[in-house]
Amino acid sequence: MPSVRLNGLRKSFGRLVAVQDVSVEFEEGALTSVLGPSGCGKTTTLNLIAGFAEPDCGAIYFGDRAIADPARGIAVPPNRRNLGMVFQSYALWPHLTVGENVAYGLKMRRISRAERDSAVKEALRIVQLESYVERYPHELSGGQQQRVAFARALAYSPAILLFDEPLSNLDAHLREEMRFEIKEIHRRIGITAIYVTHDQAEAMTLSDRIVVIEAGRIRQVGTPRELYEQPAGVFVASFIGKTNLLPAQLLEGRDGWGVVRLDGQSDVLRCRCSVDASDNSRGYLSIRPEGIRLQPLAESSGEERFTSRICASTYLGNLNEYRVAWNMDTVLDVQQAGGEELKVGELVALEIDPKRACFLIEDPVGTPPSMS
Amino acid sequence: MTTIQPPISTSPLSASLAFFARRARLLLQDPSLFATGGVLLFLAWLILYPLFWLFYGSFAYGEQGLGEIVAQLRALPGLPRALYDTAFVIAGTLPLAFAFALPLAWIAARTDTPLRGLIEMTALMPFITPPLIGAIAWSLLGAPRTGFINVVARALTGTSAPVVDIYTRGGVIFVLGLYLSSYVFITVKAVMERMDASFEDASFIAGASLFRTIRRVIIPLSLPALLSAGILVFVNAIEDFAIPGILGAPGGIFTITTYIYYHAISYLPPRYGVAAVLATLIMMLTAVAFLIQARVLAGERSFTTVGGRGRRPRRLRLGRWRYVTLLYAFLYFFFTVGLPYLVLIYGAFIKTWGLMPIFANLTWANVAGTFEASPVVVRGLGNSLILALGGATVASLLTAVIGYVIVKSKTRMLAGAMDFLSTIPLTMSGPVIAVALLWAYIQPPFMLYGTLWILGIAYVTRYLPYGVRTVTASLRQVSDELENAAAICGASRFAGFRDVLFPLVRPGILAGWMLMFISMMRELSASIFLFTPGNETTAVALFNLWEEGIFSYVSVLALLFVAISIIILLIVQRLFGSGARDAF
Repeated sequence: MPSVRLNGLRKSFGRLVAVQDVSVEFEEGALTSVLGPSGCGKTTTLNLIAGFAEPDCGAIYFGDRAIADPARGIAVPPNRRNLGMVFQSYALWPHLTVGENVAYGLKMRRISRAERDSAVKEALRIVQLESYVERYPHELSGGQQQRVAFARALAYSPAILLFDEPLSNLDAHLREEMRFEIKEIHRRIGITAIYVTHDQAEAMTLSDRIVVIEAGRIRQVGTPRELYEQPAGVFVASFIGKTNLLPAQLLEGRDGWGVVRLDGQSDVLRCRCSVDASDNSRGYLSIRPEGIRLQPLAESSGEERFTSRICASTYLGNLNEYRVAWNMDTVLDVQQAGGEELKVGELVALEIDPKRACFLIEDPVGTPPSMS
Repeated sequence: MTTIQPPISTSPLSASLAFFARRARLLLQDPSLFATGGVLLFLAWLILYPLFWLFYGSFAYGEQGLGEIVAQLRALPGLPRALYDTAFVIAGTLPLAFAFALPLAWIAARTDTPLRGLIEMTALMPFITPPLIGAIAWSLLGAPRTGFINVVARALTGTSAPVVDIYTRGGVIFVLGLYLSSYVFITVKAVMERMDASFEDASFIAGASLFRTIRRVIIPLSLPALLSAGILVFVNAIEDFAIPGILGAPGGIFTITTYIYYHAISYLPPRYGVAAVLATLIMMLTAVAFLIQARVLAGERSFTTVGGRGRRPRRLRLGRWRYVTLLYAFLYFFFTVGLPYLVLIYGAFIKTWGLMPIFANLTWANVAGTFEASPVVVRGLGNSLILALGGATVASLLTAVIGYVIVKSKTRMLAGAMDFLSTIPLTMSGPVIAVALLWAYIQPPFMLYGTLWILGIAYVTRYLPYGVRTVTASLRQVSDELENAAAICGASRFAGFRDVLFPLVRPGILAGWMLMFISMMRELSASIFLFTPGNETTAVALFNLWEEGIFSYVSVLALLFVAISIIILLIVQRLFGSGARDAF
């Protein structure tokens, strides 16, 4: 079960550079998501790994074996890469039965009939569709087709499994169910898997690690927790989960913790900051909505609290969502679990959890921050 | 975060050398590139070489200047009259074809008239019946003295004046309108069926009446389809030989196509220059028609979206009126198919033309007589089968490659060139191709005139766009992901083609083959210019027999011809159509 290593990949279509300087290792046996907004180059990256496109430069290794390296004239065609892939459209062959679809990869590997039959059975058992062998794809529901596509990719025990936004055509409920199913199946067979998606919730639930791509470049690689709690830049902070981004200056930073002052304010705040952020650098303070605590003014105490006013309130059942005005012109989104509902117009004490606040210097390439 | 392998150091020169060496190796390894290149060259020769000769013949041959060409055209007897008649016939045929087909399309697509399946089949019958056979049947029915209708009318009323005379401009228009209405029916019915009922609902909800809804919603939405149908009728009316040849020429009525035949090609000595000029005129008219269509279709695409969410259009409940619509469909069937075939069957088995069709007056002698009458009959059937079977097969192979390149090739230049070249013949109708091929292959280096090859080339050229359209349509339905999925599973390019792409486009290729086969079987408007003794086709033989006035033999051969065509289609469908599941 090899790892997949991309080394300085670049791919352009005419004048459009889809992917550049992409170097990353997908660890063996792990499920790694490639996450990014549409058009960021994640599908191109997957196509390069699958072999549907050749990189302009850079190299791809499966384990120690180079499978694409234009500088050395290496380009293993897709059919010799021993991959399994689940496509966005499922790409089931409409003229073949479920059984024939799943058996195809085994047939291409010249597996004997008996072994083939048992492998097909086993793959369909994993996705709980054993009784559908004789059916045609168009007789199945979207979710079932999705499972067949999964079984087809698993049947011949490929070295690496690729997913190209496999759940984007399913409805919300089914999508959630399939997420857990994919995760569970992956846990059992422990194959190196690369999962491309634009849905951050999907990436968070499924992945061991996530590679965030934007505008053809890797922004950050890390576990879901690392990305959420220590985003490397403004883009990752706003793309993974909700956040409030406020222009700020780092007064002093040490060992991943720092003190910042928000622009136009006199108060200072404690927060996380990256190790390489230098003192007095300018950037953004990212505060997660659930990192802010609101209390009626009367009940509050403690040091780091500020007075603010509720502008809007939404009741979501398990959560209350507020929009609060802090120092007149700074507006924050706040999520608070339980507690009494605060009224619009009420003055409240606002407290920020330093662990949920993070000072970010702007992204290395300098993309403008986008609020989510 | 990640471990990164240091880049392998190679000098830029050796890297680029390796790159080019690899590309060159790929080119040599990939046989499909040779196939593609070969087909492109063949296509260029097939289409551009005769076209060059057509234009050369029109404008520059010998010492001939433009002034001289104009002078020659002026001196031609009856040309202005023929041009006038062509315009007159087209102006009459267009509204008539729509008047026949629109009600029928509406009946089949949007009403609850009984026997709709049958109606649909009968509406396609004129499409299966060659215009040649329709023209022959209608000449047997409507000739002023011997025509069946007039014979019956005389017997019933005792008048000696003919009731109908089919050898008039009106007769030509009537039969052309009848047979070209199939094109209108097919195009318009498809749109009416796909039209989302919510468009109409929205109109009704807004308070519009049924009439207003038809005028403001349904007609504008079907306008592109109506235009396409109109252009098909227009193009076919200009290029058709059989109907104006059989019904118009005896009365001195010529369209451009029959004029070229009677006054330029079979005139002695042949006026090839004049033929080239008139053929170019036809080609330009056709090209302009298709350009207009392309412009309109490109502009209207934004709202041609008739909705693909599978909502069936609502059928209008007609109540008792549905028997009126059924009667209309029946009358249409009667005039296009019923009556013509009845008179052919009568002619084929009656002892003497004009006898009552009772059992005692029937005979098999005509069938035997047809084969003994002339060696052309048997030879023509043989030639037609060779040409149509061979031509459709060669053209299918070509269209498979052309379609694949147009749809799947990543080299857009190549795809564009293929697309452009294979579209040109659409503007070259029968007489145009025939005159162009005469010019191209009557002289070295390709002396093909006088052989079957020139007919085969004409057929393949002429019907290639039909096949390309069917094949590209079915190729476009196969997404790249289906092929990619095969590659991921370990299938080589060839295995992927064999196991995935080919099975999925086979119905399209087969449909293209059948369309080209049936078109080639009935081809007359190019063959009539290109045949030489020994190389007659059945259509040519039929035309000649009709000219000789042996109605019984004409009837036998016509029936036999249609029967053979249908039997072959059924056999092919049986042999190659199985397993073509409707999976989309």
